[in-house]
Amino acid sequence: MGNSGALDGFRALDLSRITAGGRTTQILADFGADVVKLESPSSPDPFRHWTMVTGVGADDGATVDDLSSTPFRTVGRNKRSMGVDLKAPQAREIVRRLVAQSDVVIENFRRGVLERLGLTFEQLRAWNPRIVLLSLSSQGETGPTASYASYGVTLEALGGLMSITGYEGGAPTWTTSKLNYPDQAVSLLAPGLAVWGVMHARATGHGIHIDLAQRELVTSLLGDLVVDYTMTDEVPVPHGNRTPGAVDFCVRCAGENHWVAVSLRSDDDCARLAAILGERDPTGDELQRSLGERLAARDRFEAVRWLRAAGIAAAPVLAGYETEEQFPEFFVSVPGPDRVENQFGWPFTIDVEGAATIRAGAAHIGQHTGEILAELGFSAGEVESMSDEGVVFGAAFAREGSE
Amino acid sequence: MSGGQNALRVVEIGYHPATALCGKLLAALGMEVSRLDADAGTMEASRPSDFTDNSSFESHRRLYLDAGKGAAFASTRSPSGSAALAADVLLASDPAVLVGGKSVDALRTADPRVVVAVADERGDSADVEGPGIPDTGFQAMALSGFLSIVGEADREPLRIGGSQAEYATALSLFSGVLFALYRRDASGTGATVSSSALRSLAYMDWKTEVYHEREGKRLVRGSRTGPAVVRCLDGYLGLYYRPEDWPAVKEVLGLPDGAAERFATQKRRDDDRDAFAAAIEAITIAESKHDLCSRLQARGVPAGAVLTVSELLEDEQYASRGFLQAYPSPSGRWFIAPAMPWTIDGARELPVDGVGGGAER
Repeated sequence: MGNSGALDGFRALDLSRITAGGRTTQILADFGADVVKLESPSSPDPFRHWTMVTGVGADDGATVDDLSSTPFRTVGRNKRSMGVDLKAPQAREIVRRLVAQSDVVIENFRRGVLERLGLTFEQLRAWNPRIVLLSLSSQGETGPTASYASYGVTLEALGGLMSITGYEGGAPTWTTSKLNYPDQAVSLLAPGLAVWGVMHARATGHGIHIDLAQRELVTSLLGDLVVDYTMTDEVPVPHGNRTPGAVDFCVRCAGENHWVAVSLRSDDDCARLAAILGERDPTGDELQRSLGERLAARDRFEAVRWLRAAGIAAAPVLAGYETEEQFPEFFVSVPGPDRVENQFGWPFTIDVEGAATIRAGAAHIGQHTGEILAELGFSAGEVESMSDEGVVFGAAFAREGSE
Repeated sequence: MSGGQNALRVVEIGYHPATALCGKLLAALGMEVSRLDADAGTMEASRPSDFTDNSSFESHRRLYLDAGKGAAFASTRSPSGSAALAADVLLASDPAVLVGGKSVDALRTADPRVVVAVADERGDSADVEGPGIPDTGFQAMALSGFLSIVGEADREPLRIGGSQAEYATALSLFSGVLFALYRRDASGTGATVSSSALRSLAYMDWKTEVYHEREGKRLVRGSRTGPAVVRCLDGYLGLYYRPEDWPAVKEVLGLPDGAAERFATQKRRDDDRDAFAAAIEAITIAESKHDLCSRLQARGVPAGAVLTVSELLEDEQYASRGFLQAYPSPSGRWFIAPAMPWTIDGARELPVDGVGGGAER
């Protein structure tokens, strides 16, 4: 896989799974890093068979293979795949050579797994003194809850986010597996940390272990509320869509689940809205109610144009699947197993031609095992032997290609 | 790369939560971060009537975003302000901002090595017609799909609490800046990094789009299956469990035989969701969320107590890791704020030997 891009020359060994790790290494790969994803076929990335969100999977009657999972085909793009049984003694030499040629190893296992695999940071650094280990842990490496199992909702609860998200007077609300906000936040921050770590290691000659605690990131994103509490003793609680200094709300329009989001930032905004509604000195709640009555039978786009013409900040509430039509410039074409797919590109742009590109779709497990083993200096005979013994998987791809 | 003689210099042009958080993150990695304010020291005026006096919250937010920075603030009109423009990284919230009469594009032309990062709410769609360009974080949530996917299906779309639109932009810019600096080490030239709340939030809501594009499924907000948020004696518990965790959940909660039989399968629990939640809450309402969380986690069930902001300050995990730290405010009163959410070689501080990487100028 010929790479260029902003991260040309950056090499990552990807031991991560599911969203937080997969999305982190996907951005690195999108911007030109050589990302080698290592999986054991007996314990592949669960994302390859993910049914949690829509239930589509092995029971739906469709052909199911390791690229059947819709989300995996996004996070798996631009990466090379190696199939290795990490528990096999012979695998250790493979991993040693991979680490020796990598800049960073990225993982998000439960704490203790790296130790059981014999891949502690001390061991990695013994193989490569400049290696960076980026751990995306749930609670951090230490502390009484370091061993906690967690998914997104666990982190939203323990991180404080749920305590400030919810309808007025209602129960705490989580973002559900459809969004899974903590994982997405990690996947925006972690790539930068990985790159910084590698730059630091190259400058100093010493590798480092960076541990990003996902729960702590959730709380960091509420840091302003923590400070406000310590200065005022007022515990923040959910207020629906209202926030300090703003009256934000949604009103329903014509059509199923069609809404308009309105933002009032000043008394002048309120006065303008009151004027077009024919209201006198209304409160924010009264404005929302009155506007809701006015817009109930109107198309949401038409409603937005009407509000904006009056100088009111308004936008249609789009579903995620509508963003492709409204903002096509955000999307890229990615080769899929049976057709080209339209996927969201990247969260930021760099104004250099070719800084980020799509070079390949997601790979089958072990699709690049043969070529990578050859790069690592293993002979054809050694590769065949390890394949026959079940140490490596997918090497047949390379053999078939060379015959 | 860490602080010191060769530390990279970052200048925030004006104040915006997105660029301020990005600057805070870069400062934590040893970069020297300063800010140019058009009028140093001014604050937004509070607004009367329906508008909560926001000036204290906004001042507290600034305390958080500037904590840990060795930030120097200067006016763009002052000599020190102009000198401060000799930076490795410029963070701007508006691509049209002028600094000393120069646009950010002109600054890049004057210094090809500088990395400029712009939190541009106009995104890449300055000329597009259609739903328009978001004016606020709430609007960006609306246009990105973010708002539509949170809350209950039959109720108003719901924002995620806090300043997530601005902070998501900050995280995007942070990674973009580091990528551009990496590239500069090899190429010798800077770049312009752009992001926006719209782009960042839409990127985060990617699953809604891919499931529709590939499977024709339209994800709607809310969840009537799987995990539940249940009331306890002292608040709420996020009772998240996988199907294989159900035996442990039953045992920890002490679910009566009748209820255990009635809700023996995931399908039954989902089909009769309200009754299931009521049966669970009949038990949890008499128990502490902290105790339940500990007991469930001891069995490998990924449940989580819903902690309030005040409870975060009392949390043993955070205390043991030194995550919440005290800082002095300009008024002399001390406040508590989260540290950076990462450790390096087990420590919150940067490695002592981390010097170097500063750009030759």
